[in-house]
Amino acid sequence: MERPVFKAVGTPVEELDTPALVVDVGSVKHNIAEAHGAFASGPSLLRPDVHSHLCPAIAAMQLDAPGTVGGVAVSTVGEAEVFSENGVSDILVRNLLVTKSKIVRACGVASRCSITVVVESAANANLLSQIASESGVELGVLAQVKSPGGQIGAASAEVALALARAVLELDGLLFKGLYAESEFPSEDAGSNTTQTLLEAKAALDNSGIDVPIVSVSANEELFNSGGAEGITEVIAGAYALMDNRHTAYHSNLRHAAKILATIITHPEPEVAWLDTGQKASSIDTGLPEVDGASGVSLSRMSAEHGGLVLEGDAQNSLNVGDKVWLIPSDIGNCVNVYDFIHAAENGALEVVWDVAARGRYS
Amino acid sequence: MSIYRPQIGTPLAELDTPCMIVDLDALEHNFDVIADLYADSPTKMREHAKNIKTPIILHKQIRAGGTMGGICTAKTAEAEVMVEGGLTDILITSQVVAPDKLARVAALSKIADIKLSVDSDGPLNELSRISSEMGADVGVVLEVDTSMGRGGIRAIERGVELAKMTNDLPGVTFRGVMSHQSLAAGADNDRESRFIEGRRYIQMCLDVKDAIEAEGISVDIVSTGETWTYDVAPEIPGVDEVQGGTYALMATQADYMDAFQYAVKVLSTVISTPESNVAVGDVGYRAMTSPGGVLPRVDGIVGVEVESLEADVIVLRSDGEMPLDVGDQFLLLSAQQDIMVNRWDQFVAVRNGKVEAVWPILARGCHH
Repeated sequence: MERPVFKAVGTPVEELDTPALVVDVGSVKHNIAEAHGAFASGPSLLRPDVHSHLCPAIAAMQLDAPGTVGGVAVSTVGEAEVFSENGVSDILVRNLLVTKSKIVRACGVASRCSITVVVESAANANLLSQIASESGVELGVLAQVKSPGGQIGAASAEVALALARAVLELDGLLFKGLYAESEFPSEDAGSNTTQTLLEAKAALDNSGIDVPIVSVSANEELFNSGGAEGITEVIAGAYALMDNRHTAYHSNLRHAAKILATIITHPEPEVAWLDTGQKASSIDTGLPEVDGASGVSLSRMSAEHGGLVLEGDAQNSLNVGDKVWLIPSDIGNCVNVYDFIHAAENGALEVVWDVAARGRYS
Repeated sequence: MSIYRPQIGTPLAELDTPCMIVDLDALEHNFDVIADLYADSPTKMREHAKNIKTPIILHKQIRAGGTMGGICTAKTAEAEVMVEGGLTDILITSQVVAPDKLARVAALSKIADIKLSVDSDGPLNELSRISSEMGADVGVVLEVDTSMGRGGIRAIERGVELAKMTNDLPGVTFRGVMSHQSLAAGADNDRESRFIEGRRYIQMCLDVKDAIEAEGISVDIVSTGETWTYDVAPEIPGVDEVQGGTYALMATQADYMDAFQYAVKVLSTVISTPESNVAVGDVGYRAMTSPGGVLPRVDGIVGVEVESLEADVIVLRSDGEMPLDVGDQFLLLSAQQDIMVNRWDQFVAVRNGKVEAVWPILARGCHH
């Protein structure tokens, strides 16, 4: 487990042990107010995707804000276990659950809170039904519809209808509606995903099947518009902390999460290295970006180190021991390598939050 | 905290996935390769804990043999975990500059033989000040850059200056020199090319040692070499220890080091088969990593390739009919295992298809 030197509340953030994941609480509040405000007055509600921060304290701030369905989305049963233990009462698990052991665990959580799972086949629905019935719980079920370019889900409205009918016949399952996942970035795919879902919903409506939930995840277009008519909920998560790869889509949101790094060697005028590399930032979707230091850029990262290129005055003004801020590329992927978030207000440490669901891949 | 921790004896087929496993036969084979090669050599292994982060696995190599009895760590917090895990001789291979962290290094040196990589005089003076104030003594090993362009002195004279300076400072003891060198991506990696490149890089470190000794300062430790030069280093007089890391668990980027076997794998389950030749598995880049976009490799299923890796799922494609169905398990090999290991909290150690041990990765997340 991560084991930083914990500093006293009130410590200026620049004095934290590095690498440190630091979150500006004011920016989180700003981002939540902006995003949730759009949904409070929009056609859809928001279901915060806590896979993007893995942190119960931030989930609580999101669920306290207006414009939500009152529950969260997670990717894994392990994450559902953590968030249910931390007081979340309505959880949608976005990934398909196909093995007995995983479904048994999901039913365990369902005995303590409302769990909704996603299915794409009648065979899977049968297995879910059998285990839920044996466990004496009820699982909510959304039928996944394949979005354009996607891999998983019912390939047509007819297949989705057949799947819904199969679920409706089964004990231990409560059919709740439809789900689709857009691919990131989803500027163009977004409206297609919405269209695909609405066609499936029409097929169910025409057959007299009640569809209380129509849910879309990872869709920047729908997120910015507060949803769309016919879509009941939009699943999104990166908005709370933000990251580099979402910057282009959400100009009203602030980078609330940054990595504080220290220069540990400055062997040549134009070269300096940080104590922060791939392990402490996660570069699967791209390198982090240097924040607020002119003439300083990050050119590469090895496992433990980050390589800076210095230009102009920065070659002389930056020294060994100086701190540099980095904005991660993919916030969920970055948070996942930390056990603690240092939450700060006005540049001073306020509280340390547990990243309680980090590493819960199964 | 609800970490899924399988019972000893659980068959692979019953493990919840995704699950990172370590194949004990392969791990022990890799440790035996090192034990056999270095048994009668003056060169010994100083295994790198950054790749494994788990004291019990490092102890296994030390017990198997071929080591100098100690290890490396990349970071201070890793060193703390290793000392708490019973390791007594540690070389921290990254520079440490913050005063609060230097104090941690000095404190550790009171209970273990601690050496720190140094490459500039500011941090060296600070280390000396803090260590002497605490009544501690930290070993100093100078890092030599051998063309990585990362940390390390660039000129031989600079090494001599820093060695002399260390000798004059309280709270620190000059111990030797170290270097680290990756084989450049795309470079020839056959045995002959490795030996030519390896000798060249290692000689750059030895040149600094010779220059320091010419000034009458003794150099106890020359710590250099890594997995790709594990067999080059013992053939060069003067190399005391090799900082091997990748060899223990292996990764596809070191595939050419074929003396070693793949010991770490990720077990995944097929959750969807959207087409007759496509399967989707339940692990993505968040758990597997794909540094530089390099994809993992499917282990032991001919004709099935990894097509793409998303945050939480992996897409497989087969030449003909996909041999895997929904619910079937498969194993993946990592491109670069140490970044992957750092994302997991435990190794599930397996032999003959059954769980033999579960080891918490105690230094996971110790980036500082």
